[in-house]
Amino acid sequence: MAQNRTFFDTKLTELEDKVVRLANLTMRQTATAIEVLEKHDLELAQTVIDNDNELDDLELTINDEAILLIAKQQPVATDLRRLIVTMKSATDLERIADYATNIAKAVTRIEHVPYLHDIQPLKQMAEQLIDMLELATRAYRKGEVSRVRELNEMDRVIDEINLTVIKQYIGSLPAMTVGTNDVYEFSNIARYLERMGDHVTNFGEHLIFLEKGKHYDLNQ
Amino acid sequence: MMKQQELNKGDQNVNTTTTEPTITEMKKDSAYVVNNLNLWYGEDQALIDVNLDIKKNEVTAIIGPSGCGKSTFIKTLNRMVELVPSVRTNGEILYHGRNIFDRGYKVEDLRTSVGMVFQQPNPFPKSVYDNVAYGPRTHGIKNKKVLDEIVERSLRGAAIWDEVKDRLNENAYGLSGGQQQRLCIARTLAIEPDVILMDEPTSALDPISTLKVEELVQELKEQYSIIIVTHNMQQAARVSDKTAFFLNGEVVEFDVTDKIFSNPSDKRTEDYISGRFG
Repeated sequence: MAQNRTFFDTKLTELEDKVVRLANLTMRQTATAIEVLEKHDLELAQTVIDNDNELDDLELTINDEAILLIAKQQPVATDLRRLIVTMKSATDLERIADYATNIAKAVTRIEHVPYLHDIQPLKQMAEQLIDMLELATRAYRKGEVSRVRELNEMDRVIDEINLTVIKQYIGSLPAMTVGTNDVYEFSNIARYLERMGDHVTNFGEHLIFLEKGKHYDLNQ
Repeated sequence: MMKQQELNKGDQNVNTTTTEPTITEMKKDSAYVVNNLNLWYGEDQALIDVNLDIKKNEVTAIIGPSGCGKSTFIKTLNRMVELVPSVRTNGEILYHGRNIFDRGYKVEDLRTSVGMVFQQPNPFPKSVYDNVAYGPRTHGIKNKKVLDEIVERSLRGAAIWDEVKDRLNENAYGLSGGQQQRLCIARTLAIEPDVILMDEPTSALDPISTLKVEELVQELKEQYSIIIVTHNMQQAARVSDKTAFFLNGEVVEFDVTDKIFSNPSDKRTEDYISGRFG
């Protein structure tokens, strides 16, 4: 069939490439934030905080360009879904990156180094999260959603670790004479990672909507 | 399901003295039921096995690329297509339970209850008033008061009364294109049809007049069943409840408009509505 809309198709593909770029940057920010936590590297923490502006700008660019394409090209059906999904996915990815920044900031407030608390569960959550982000980004890039439903189970693992680790942190409080503020920061980091997982499942839900035009809850 | 007597009662124009046409049971909410309609212009087949159930009090949009048969189709619904000498059809179009192609069917009766609006506004070279009064006068209404009422009601119905109420005796050619088109709609309403066919009714109009006609279509569907052929896909999306996509004489997809424009079932529909061909 003759391609009548080369200009529009090119613009739409460029926009989707920007979403993939945002996803890759988000993954990098997340991985770096965890490195900040592992090494208590405050200089690296500042890098994560500074980088966040770039991701915020990219999200705004994606939204602006999508709005212009909708206004000027009046897309329908799959074209319209593709555009809406760029906007919704950009919002979720930007939120994930915000949490990565929050993790870096939380690390800068931790008072006792070496840490008084076990961060192994946090690392497990982060690894799982990055696997989820990789899966979703690959699915988006390739337009292949068959594995996206796995995100549901992967996110459940994060949720479980989160519950366990927060109980563990709070349980340690009565016996502590110093480092109670740190408990607050570590618990927050766990909560941020848990929320990040929810946003990755949202991203996955958008991909199912993109392909099937149907809504699906990956966060049950 | 309607009984035969009710169908006859509902259709004032059944001529009972000629051969009694067959009454086929139709769903009560159907304006037209088209079954296996085929149409040829000479050797060329323009419609192929068209099956559609067109509902009452809905706007049904017919879309498709040039030459897909959409104008031919709408012109079969009031048998206007028969004005082309080489036309041949088979299959049936049920209207009030009767096949409009039946030998006993009087085409005048059909066109009294099925109004039509065309691409180019085509008012008569007469006054605004006489344009609207033309149909009722042809049907023998002479009483000035009754005609006045019909003219005002029709012009109001076509959302043009306020613009022409002080110019009723002026020649209709003095109106703008958009006003002329709404006058033609008023002229159609004056004969109290139950179906209005619109063949590209806004393609000769400016954007504001187009939106006025679209708004009007939304109001009219409460009382009439409307079938609209349009090249403008956004118009189909804006005004219609159901959309039929025609391609090479066939109905590729017929579904609720929300579905057609958000998630059509057929790849060809998707390609057409998203401007990939046509």
